[in-house]
Amino acid sequence: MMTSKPKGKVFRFGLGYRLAHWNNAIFFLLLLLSGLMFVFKGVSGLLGEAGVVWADRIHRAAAWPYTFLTIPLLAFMAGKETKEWLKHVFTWTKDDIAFVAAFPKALFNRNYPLPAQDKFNGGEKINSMLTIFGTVVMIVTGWTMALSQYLGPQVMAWALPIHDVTAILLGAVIMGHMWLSLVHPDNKAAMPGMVNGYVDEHFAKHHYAKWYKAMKDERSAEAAD
Amino acid sequence: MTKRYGMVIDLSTCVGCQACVASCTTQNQTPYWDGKFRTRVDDIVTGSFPDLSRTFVSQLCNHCEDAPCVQVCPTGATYQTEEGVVLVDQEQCVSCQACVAACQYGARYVYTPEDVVQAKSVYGEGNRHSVAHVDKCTLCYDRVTGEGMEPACVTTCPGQARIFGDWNDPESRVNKALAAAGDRAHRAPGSAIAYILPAPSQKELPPPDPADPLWVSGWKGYVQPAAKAALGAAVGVLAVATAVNLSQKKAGEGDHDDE
Repeated sequence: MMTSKPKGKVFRFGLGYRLAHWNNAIFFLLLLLSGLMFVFKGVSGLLGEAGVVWADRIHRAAAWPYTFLTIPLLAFMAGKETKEWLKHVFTWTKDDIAFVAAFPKALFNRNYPLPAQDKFNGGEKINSMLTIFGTVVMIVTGWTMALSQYLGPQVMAWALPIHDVTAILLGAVIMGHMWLSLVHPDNKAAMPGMVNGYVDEHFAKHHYAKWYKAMKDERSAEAAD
Repeated sequence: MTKRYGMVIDLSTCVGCQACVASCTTQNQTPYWDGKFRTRVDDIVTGSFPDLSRTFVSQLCNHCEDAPCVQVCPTGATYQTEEGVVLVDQEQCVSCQACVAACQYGARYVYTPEDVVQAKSVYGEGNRHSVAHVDKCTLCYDRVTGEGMEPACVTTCPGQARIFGDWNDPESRVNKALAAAGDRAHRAPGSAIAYILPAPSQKELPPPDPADPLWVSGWKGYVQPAAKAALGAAVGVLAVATAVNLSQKKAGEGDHDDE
């Protein structure tokens, strides 16, 4: 099944899964940037009146694909992979916990040993969980505010603070996520997996040893058939 | 010294004629067709039968110091002038109504898109409300600062129950009126609107003292600063980690042990 794979590469993420990731990433970033002025008031002063109007329009427009496109992409274009991902994310092994415990040290030491990981490491599992729960919170509170003219002003008393604080925390999460994929010298090799679906075999072997081994075993079992 | 505009409302003089409401409506072109007004007169009955008393309590925006509506406004559309007047920049307002929820005086309402359309036919094309926004009392800021006049409600009040002035000027009419009222005077700290009670004991008649609702003080005072600190800490950690990682050498670099 992986006969057409490029040499020295390992297949990691399918097309639907990648589309869902980028749909979520692009519209989340648009929402984060257009929403900045709502959290840091100095930004709305810099934007001026027309800027505020446009940021508000972009925020309301980006909310639609952010809310209504990611889940159908996951469900209808990457159903099997999504199931696998969710199963991984919500299954915690000793190695995941050991990874998370060692991560703060590894963050400041490229040579710090990390325990062997499955398809998703403990950090990616935390990132996934925060993203899943955070997205649900943002969608529910965001649409509550968008519909506040029908729901009454009192809903703003909980929807706005929760939306605001969750956005700040998700902003911190995505910074860490982007830093690992764009800046960290040893982790940048993960990025092609989300672009064309393939990662370096060397990278897979070192960063996801359990996943790599399971794949190898499966392949040799197939070959033996 | 900067001015602090405000008003004294004499509850022993107000007869509940609603002239203030009417003059405010025409002056500020508010959507009366939706029952929305910048000021109102509550008809309050106190005591127990047969010892009842009836008081008309005129209400409007309190123009609170450090107003919660200003704190919660996400876009900065709601702001306070140096004279302490709370205003709304119509262009920056996105009608989210957070300020409506934060205001304990019911002093704010939404000038909806439908109201904007209606306003065109009632008040003409060039009226004050060209876009949807949250609307509120401005203490007739333009009239006061631009034309040197008093707010429309004050000018109109036939019993002179509404008195306008500068709290920072000891000689102003508001300070003199309040001083003359003796123990019937009631001005809560941080309030721009003071009341002269019909009797010293009737402290329950005026609207409540300025206070931040719990969701505002908890959010703006603790939760949001904590989240911002966490974000700042994340930026700091990543900056240090970038410097550390880029300066370190990877052990066994180039020593690919692939088969």
